[in-house]
Amino acid sequence: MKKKNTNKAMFTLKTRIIDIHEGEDLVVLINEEDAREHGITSMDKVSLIYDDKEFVFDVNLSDTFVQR
Amino acid sequence: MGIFEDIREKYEIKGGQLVTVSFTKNTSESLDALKKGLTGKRLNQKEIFAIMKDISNNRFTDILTTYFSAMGFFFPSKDEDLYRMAKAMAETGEMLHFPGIVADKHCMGGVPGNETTMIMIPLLTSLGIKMPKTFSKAITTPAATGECVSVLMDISFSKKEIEALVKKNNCCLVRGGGLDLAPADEKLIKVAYPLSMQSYSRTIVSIMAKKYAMGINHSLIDIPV
Repeated sequence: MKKKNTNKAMFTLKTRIIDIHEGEDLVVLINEEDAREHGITSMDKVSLIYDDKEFVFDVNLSDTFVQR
Repeated sequence: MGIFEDIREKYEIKGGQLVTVSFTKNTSESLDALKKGLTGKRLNQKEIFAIMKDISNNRFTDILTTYFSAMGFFFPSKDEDLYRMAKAMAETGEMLHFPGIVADKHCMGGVPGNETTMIMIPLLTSLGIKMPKTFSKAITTPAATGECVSVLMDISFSKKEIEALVKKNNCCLVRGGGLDLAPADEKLIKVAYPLSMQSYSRTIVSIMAKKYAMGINHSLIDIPV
């Protein structure tokens, strides 16, 4: 999918691989404070853009698995 | 941001990679199409495609997907609508192609665990018919083909592995869910699963889209009455 830059509310995060197979759902973990700062709540949908690709994931929050 | 192992594999995201994050919005096209459909108006190919694309891309929430799924109970679809939906559902995912006559046998809502498919696919293949068989999670029974086959062997394969299996054996028995074949279908099945029921139109579309995506050109469908 082509990279789109239409949404102004964009920010950058660094990925950390979690050694868990989550199953069929498309979920990423975001640090609670990062999420609060950007107005994201659990089960919001976010677009991840990297390497000219864009995919949509559901959000879960954590303050232990993912540090700020 | 935490990326689970299976997401890393499927979407080729590396650890320590910087990714841009933004809120996801549905395309106004798909939302307008859904609203139009919910008022009982017929959708054109472009509108159906917009909905299927947003379901496939995970842009539709489960609630929106459920609205679309339930629409099938209230507004009967004409054959042309079913064709449009099946085509859009297939073409928003991966498509496989095999040369020659490619056949399939589909059993819906059968007796739990009767497993005709597991027996018929190798039998028909032995007669020289190419049968790349896929299955999804059981909807109307506790154990359908996928659940039974998975007791005996691996059922999850990549597109390349399936092509190699069919080239070698002229058939396969594999799970379609991991393949991205008609990806909207898995999401529609997921929202329909708790009630163990799907509307007639969604059921037909689900079957036909996967057949089309799998390159099937001859299909036998067994529907208990």
